[in-house]
Amino acid sequence: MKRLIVLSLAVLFLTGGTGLPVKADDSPPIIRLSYVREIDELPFYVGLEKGFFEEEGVKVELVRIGGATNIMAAALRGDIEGGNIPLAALFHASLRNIPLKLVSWLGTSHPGTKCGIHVSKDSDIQTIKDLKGKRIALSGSITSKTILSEALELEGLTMKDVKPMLGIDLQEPMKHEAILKSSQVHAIIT
Amino acid sequence: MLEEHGVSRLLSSFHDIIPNFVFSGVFFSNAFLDAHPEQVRAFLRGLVKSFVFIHEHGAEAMEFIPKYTGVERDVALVCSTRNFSVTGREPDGFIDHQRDLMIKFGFLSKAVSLDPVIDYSYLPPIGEK
Repeated sequence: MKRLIVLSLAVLFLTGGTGLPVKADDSPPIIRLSYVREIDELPFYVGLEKGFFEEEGVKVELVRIGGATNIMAAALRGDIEGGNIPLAALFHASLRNIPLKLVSWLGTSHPGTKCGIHVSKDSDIQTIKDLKGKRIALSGSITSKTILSEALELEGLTMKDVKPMLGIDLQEPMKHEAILKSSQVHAIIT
Repeated sequence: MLEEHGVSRLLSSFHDIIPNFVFSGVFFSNAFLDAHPEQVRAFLRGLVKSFVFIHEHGAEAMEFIPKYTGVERDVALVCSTRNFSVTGREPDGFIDHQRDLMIKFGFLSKAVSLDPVIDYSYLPPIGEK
């Protein structure tokens, strides 16, 4: 009985009587952000490794969550405070009055950008027009579908002229290589 | 990455197809912004330091990619990163163009404004060191 009372008092002391964990007073507040292991998030990685966030008085923890809908839902539930969100998802958030705000962009493409439509090194495909009738792997996100649609339209084609294969996992970049090597697809958007 | 491993050839890049393509950004829930605006400002000061570091020490920054993405180091060191604005802001024209394309291809029902869901006021003022 005495042991139980001591244990109960210890729990009350450690939780400040609230039942919730109490952080040490001198530790910075923790901000939990979603991430999807993409190059866009390089500023997160740099800030963590160089200590830039802690220098400014906050500690950042990255939480891996896939899919814009899941990310926004996690923020609304309070599982995270925010994170990385695609531009396309932001349009839909605005349309549906979802209570969130974008506070900074995470960069743009540039002439050296290597993300795009890739074909096998030895492929006969030399131009976008050569994609007609070919199997093209893409994630199925609005971003990837917009890119492919515009690329095709610039060359007088539409999505009906190709065979899109949706569902590649953008969070597993090393798998893209295997997909293209397998020859099951003629091109991949990554 | 596929190119770096000698597996693929880049037929057309995102930038070739849609110049200055804006991929993503950082968001917070309104509840957190309302409750802890100073924490958001502190985070963004750190983020801007990261943008500047990437501009000034690109090679060193790339060394951090494998740890967080699972991409092999030899690939990470030669991959192309984004063009990060050191202000955290991008021109409205870039964003409007992508919205118009999404509408054209049926991925967005109407010309929605992002004004209600963008708030740059937590970022350091432009020009502040």
